[in-house]
Amino acid sequence: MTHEPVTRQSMARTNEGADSADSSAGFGHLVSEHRVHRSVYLDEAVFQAELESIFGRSWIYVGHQSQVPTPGSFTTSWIGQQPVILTRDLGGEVHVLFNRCSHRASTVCQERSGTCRQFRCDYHGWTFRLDGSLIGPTFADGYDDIDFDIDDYALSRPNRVEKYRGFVFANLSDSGPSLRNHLGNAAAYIDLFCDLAPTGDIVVGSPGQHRYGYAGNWKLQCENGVDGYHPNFVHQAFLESAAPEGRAMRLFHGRSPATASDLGNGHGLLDNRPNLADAHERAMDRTEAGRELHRQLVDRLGPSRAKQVIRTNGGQGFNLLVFPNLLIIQHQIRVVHARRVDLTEIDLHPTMLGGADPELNAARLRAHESFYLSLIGGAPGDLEMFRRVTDGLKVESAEWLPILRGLRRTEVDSTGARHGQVTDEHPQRGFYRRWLEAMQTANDREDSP
Amino acid sequence: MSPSEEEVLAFVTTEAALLDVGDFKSWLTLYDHDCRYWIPSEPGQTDPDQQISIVYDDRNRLSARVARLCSGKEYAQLPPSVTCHQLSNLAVAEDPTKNMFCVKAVQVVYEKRPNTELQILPGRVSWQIRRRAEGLRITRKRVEILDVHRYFENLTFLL
Repeated sequence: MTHEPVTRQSMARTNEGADSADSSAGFGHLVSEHRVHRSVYLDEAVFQAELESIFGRSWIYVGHQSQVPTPGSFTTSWIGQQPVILTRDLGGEVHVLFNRCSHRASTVCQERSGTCRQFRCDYHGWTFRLDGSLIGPTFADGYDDIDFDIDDYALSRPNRVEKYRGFVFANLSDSGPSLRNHLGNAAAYIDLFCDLAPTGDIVVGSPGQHRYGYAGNWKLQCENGVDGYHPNFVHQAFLESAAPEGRAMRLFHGRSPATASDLGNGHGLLDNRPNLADAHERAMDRTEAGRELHRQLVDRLGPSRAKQVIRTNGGQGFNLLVFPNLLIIQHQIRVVHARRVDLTEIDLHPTMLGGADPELNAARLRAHESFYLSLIGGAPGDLEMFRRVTDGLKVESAEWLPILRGLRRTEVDSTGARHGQVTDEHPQRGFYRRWLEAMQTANDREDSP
Repeated sequence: MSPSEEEVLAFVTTEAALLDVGDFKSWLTLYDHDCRYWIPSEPGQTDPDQQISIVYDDRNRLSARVARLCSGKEYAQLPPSVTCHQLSNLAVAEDPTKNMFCVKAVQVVYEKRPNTELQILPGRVSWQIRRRAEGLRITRKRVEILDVHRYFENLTFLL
């Protein structure tokens, strides 16, 4: 027997018994500061609501502008389930276009990335410029000026596209906060990530990517990417061998000085600077290439900011979740694609530092390869846990997943961000607070006449 | 086929067999101290320093992976995979010095864990093999996975 789908009716029924954070609305009984209901991961109705309320109304990370480095280059992604193309037109401007012919809806771009002069739909031959405008239909004499205005048949595009430090986000909704307001406290960490590059720009795309996926819900990856509680267990074998005398096991220990934060707006952070900042600083000055980078950073940023940047992300400095689908971890940008309620695909883009010594950039690749994707690194352990969680979630009588670790030792700062020990579940509570807010907003709108 | 070519083909078959019986420590001894074990992330990838690989390991890193695999704490291998490495279309070329051999093959790896679907990973493999006093040693192995752009779920076994 499969679990009962959450419909409006069944939600209302469950609601009567549930100790809910907000019992007045449709999803409030599924998520609270203490716990998440299993249907949040399993239910098709919840997933459909997410597509509308989360992916349809939030700033969704599409790609980095360095993935389209030259006029004519493109790469593809999704906003929820909707295929999009990130392009740089022949004049150099970056666009986000839906991958959907304005004629009979076929996708017009089949490659994951590449370069071209135009997109040609293979179904009836319509061609489009890289800014989405229609060059023309084939056999044009079949269309007359009365019915057909060529300007009406450009590739459609999301309502809003905004960039931050080269990170391109799109929003299907024409209302709501600007990207900068949405990023809030997370922007400072994107700055720290990019500022390690001598040019101030990270390079994505040309270093290639890793891809992995699992038969489970997308939010498992979002939670896990900023989960400081699991590494000492799932990644024990890796951490024990990662540093002499098992010292890496201290990073995510219950007594580690590292912190976990709910940054607001659904963004989460694990900050390992208390453990690693000194080591990052020492490591950078150990090689000639590192010393050169240090000099370049001082030239561009000044000594004080350069020191801050080096102490942050010379290595495993922080894990950042940008709600809902972007993670920045170590040297990597990770994009979470919610393909179905029970299928998640993940793009891992190792990044290089623009203008840095090739030796340093090669070392970033080696560091990425040691943990991700394959052959007894770290990440396959996470995928194994997602598989096991997805199996366990099928138990119907155990409905709840607690997220209350460290709840009673929360420190709140002046921005409203909540902080605690690295194993505390602040990022998860923050993610679900924003999740619920987004789901409720759409729900309220739907319910109003 | 020369006796040494036959020996080299038997050697790569032995390598596959060691993986299939899970004797990873013996498998590692087939690799020379300056070896590279390479699984590119793109077909025809030429530069591991400009582009990410799935694996680009020297002897130390390969040995660390084997240690983790044998640690009993690698949960993506609990329970462990069983594999069949099937080699075919084998071709061997002998260096004029008679000390180096280049082997090419088509490989299909079948992998199964108790709770997961059977994975089938076809691809092309090439080896550079050196004759040392103590026997043949792999200096370079490159595995080109045919469907390398797929979203992989579990690659915690050796190809």
